[in-house]
Amino acid sequence: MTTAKAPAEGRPKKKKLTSGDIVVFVILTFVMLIIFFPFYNAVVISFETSRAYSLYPVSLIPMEWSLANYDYLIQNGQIWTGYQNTIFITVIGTIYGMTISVMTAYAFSRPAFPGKKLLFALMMFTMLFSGGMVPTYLQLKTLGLVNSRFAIILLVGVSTYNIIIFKSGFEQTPPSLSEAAKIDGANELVIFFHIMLPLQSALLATFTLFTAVTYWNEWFWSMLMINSSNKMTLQTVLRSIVAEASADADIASGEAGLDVFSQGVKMASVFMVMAPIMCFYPFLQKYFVKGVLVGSVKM
Amino acid sequence: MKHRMNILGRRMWDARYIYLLLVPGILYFAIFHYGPMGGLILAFKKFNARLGILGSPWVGLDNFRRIFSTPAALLAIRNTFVINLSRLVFEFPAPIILALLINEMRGRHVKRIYQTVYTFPHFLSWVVVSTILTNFLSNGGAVNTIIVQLGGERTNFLANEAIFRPLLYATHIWKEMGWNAIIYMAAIAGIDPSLYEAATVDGANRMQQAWHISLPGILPTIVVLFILTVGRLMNAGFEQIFYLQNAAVKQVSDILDTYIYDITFKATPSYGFSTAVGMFKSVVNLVLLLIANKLVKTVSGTGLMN
Amino acid sequence: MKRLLGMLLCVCLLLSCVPALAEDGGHVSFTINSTHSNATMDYDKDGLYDYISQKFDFDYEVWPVSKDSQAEKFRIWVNGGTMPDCVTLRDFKYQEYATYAEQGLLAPLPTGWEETYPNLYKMVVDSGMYDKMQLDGQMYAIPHAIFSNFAHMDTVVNHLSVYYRKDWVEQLGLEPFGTVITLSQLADYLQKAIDADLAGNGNTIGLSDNNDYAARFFTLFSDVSYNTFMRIDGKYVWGAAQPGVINALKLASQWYHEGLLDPDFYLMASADAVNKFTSGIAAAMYHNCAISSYEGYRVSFQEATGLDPAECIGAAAIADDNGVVHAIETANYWSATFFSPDIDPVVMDRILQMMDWMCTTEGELTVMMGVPGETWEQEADGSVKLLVEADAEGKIPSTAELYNSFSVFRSLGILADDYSFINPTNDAQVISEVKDIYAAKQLGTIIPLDFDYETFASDAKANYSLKLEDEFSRVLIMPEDEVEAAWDTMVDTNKSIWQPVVDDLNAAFCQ
Repeated sequence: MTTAKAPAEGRPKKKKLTSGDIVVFVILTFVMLIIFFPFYNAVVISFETSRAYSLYPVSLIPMEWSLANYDYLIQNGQIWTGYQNTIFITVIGTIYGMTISVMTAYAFSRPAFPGKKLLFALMMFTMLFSGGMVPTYLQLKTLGLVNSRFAIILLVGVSTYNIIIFKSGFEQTPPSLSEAAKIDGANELVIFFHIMLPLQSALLATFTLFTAVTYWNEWFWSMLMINSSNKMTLQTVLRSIVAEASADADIASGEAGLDVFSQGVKMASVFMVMAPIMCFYPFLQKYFVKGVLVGSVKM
Repeated sequence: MKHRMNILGRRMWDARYIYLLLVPGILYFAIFHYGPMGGLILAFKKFNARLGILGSPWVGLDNFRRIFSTPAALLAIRNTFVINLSRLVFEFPAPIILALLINEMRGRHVKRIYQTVYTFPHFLSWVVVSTILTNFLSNGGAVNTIIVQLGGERTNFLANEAIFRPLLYATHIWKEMGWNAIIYMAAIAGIDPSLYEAATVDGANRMQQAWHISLPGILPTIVVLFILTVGRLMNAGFEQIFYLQNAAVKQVSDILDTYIYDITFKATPSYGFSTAVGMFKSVVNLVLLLIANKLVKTVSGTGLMN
Repeated sequence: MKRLLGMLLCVCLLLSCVPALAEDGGHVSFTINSTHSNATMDYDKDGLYDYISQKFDFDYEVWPVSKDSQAEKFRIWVNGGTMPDCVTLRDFKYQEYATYAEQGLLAPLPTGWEETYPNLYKMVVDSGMYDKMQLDGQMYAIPHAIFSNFAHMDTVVNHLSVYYRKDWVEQLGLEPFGTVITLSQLADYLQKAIDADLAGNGNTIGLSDNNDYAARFFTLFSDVSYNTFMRIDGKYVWGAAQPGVINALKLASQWYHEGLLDPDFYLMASADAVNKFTSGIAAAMYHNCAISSYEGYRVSFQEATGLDPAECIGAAAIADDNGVVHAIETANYWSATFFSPDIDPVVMDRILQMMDWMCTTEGELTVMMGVPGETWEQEADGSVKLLVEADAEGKIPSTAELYNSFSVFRSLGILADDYSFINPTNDAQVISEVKDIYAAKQLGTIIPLDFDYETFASDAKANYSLKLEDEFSRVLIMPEDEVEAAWDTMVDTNKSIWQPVVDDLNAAFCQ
């Protein structure tokens, strides 16, 4: 049941404003504010001096304006390198991940072929069991991927969850279309590229964006695998600014000194990481939502 | 016999393009998932890096025995169960309720704006979200400042053992509820409007319509998402807890994943032991999934492997 | 004939080169990390790097590790066999070192290194670790001495001290604090500062610390080092199980419930706790008080509050109410350097040569002060003359500010503490305060360090991993009458973890 229009309301509209409407509106506004306010607060802090922050931890506008936090981050340069690497990983990774996922999902959506059940079960099994962090690291090392951004690109992008959803999507396409094409002499690959894919475009677009977000937010493997400073990703840079070392070191030498990043710098770095998403998201939201609608109905 | 082989061969030849499409996927799973799975035998060994995984000596079930004699490991197991089951109870219904509410809301444009705000936190990493929330909820942060101004007392939200777990659920809902609600809203959109019309004619109010029409209408979606949620349950929550955790609440919030991280990286590593704990976790996950699947099958007739 | 002579000349020239090449191996490249690196700073583009890399004919690539994930990265590097050539680790733990060495994951120093690199050898001996770090007659790491060429201390103690606000002490009408303050003096000051809300924001904090430093502060008064093992009456025991720790806990709990300790203390990362003091909302903090740390806090304080730190910040040693200073002994080393098992011997030799040079007075001065002739030069009488000008505010730029590569080189030789007491770039007032504090600590009660435990390795010790500062914090928050029982429960619950270590230690040393 797909429509090209915006989502239909589940029921016919009424003209009068009832008390029920008001209650609903109040509750939803409250929820909206709860979600909105912490972000707003963080942005305000990032534009304040640290003295203003310690005196007024919460305020609607910065009590003492200061761009010092952003100055520090921009000069420091860590963030720009983080952006470069994260964008690189996201673009290539998304293409890679989606390609594999879609191809695999389509193959599994075809009617029974030798080995289908076995291969599918093997794939599902990986959702439950995995070798763990260290064996995976050793495997990546054997492949020569230590200190390479491709370690993250290759590892992170293919999700069994996504494959299952695509599979349902493909399965729900009327078989008559592919039958007709077969009669016309098309082989499987042609059917795949010229008929199946276009029909699923909304779903695939959505999940492309999801995959991109997954790569964008990836931290763990970036932290483990990347050694060189010029390959650090945005999230690892952010984490190094925000997190502090625990003082496990025996406190014997003056060398054990720690960098002191103020809350202002932390919030500023958070803002710089959020900013692209904040810019793109409202415009892309339409497509996200549409894709989910289309996709979820197929579930 | 030859005849059957011929048929098999023919069928495989017919499906040749399918195999072609499958090759990258097979490679991926083989290299990145099944390859490392060989490392699971570490659970039965005492790892010696120079000898490698294959050369390290066998110790049988020692590592598993050690799980049960390490208080921190047992605590992690208990917390994992409690937290994951609580998540299911508290976090799962929230987006459904939100979806029902949003559905009732009037005003297309306002709705759009609200939806944008609701779904926004989903797209941020937990690094970002935890930084913001830690600051927001800290003793000197926004929430406490407001409380004090209203005449109340400061509370250490993040460091209070009694509050911390509910705080985990609340913050997770805060981050994900809006996004998950979209899926339910899509399902609601798929319900036949004539059902509502008939109900209105019969005199049902909105609450009743929501309960008797909307909910049952989206039940299949709920079921599928429920099973998928359970399947990912044991693997979810690491980053959230890892970033929000602190000394004072470790006893109630340390789950198996954070525990494994601790013993793998933050102490003299014993990889055999951490692999054993990881394997233990996977087994528990499998059991939970099978239980959930069974439960759901008896209630609604469809399972995951439909 | 001319041609023949020409050829002969060429051959002679070539032959004269060959021995030189064979000897020092020519130009080498290596990868290295440092205890003070962060991403995207360039560590190979400044004068100091040029000077040292030319002197020893190398170039390097730095692999920075942010401090929060250093432990993780190091363990993965070593166990995964992906180490850089030369690694310097902040939190050197003997147990792990022994495990890795035994598994062949670290390269041993070449036999006879003591003679080949005599200055390096002297530093290692000064650190007190030479005998203790030998494994089967081989050395697999180089510990870095805190005090060696320029400074000495009979018993090396850690430098943690109490910072306080001199201006607040004056404002409150109290007697100015000296080099030593007692617990009741401190408590009185904290209480008065909180009551008078001297920070002006309605939320003045007393003692600002995180759980680790808070635990260190209070357990100064427990007579034992609470998170380790030691001999008492000839037998090994676990520090946390000793009655003195209960006293420390009770003191801590009392301070916490009286509001003298920051109510948020267990939420803080150590840097956040410092921030509270340097941004002016806390009356005191117990934190690192080496010269470099003190100076760093002064800078932060000035930036955050605009006040003059010389007038407003003071540091002191803490004493019990009988006036006896309490301090903790430490070993004379911090951090250690390891080499990858796959390192080329020529590269290792070059790095060791460089490190050996850094342990000479000339080398140490160069690393600490910068390029000779550029930022400093040595006078006839041996003293150091600064060639750098002070800036508009009278502050002399530090070597770290002038040369990025300082962050790398500083971790390879003798630590900066050694020279810090006579380093002309350090503030004289800070030097004198820190010196006095160290001296005062020498005269008080010093909780001894058990060196045998430090360098002991066993399976039980490998499995011993308790974050006791977390337990300490968790217990001190409880109502004061529950503290003792809660701690005893904690000791009991974890018996399966610490008892085996005690048994192993007794078996090894007390038979």
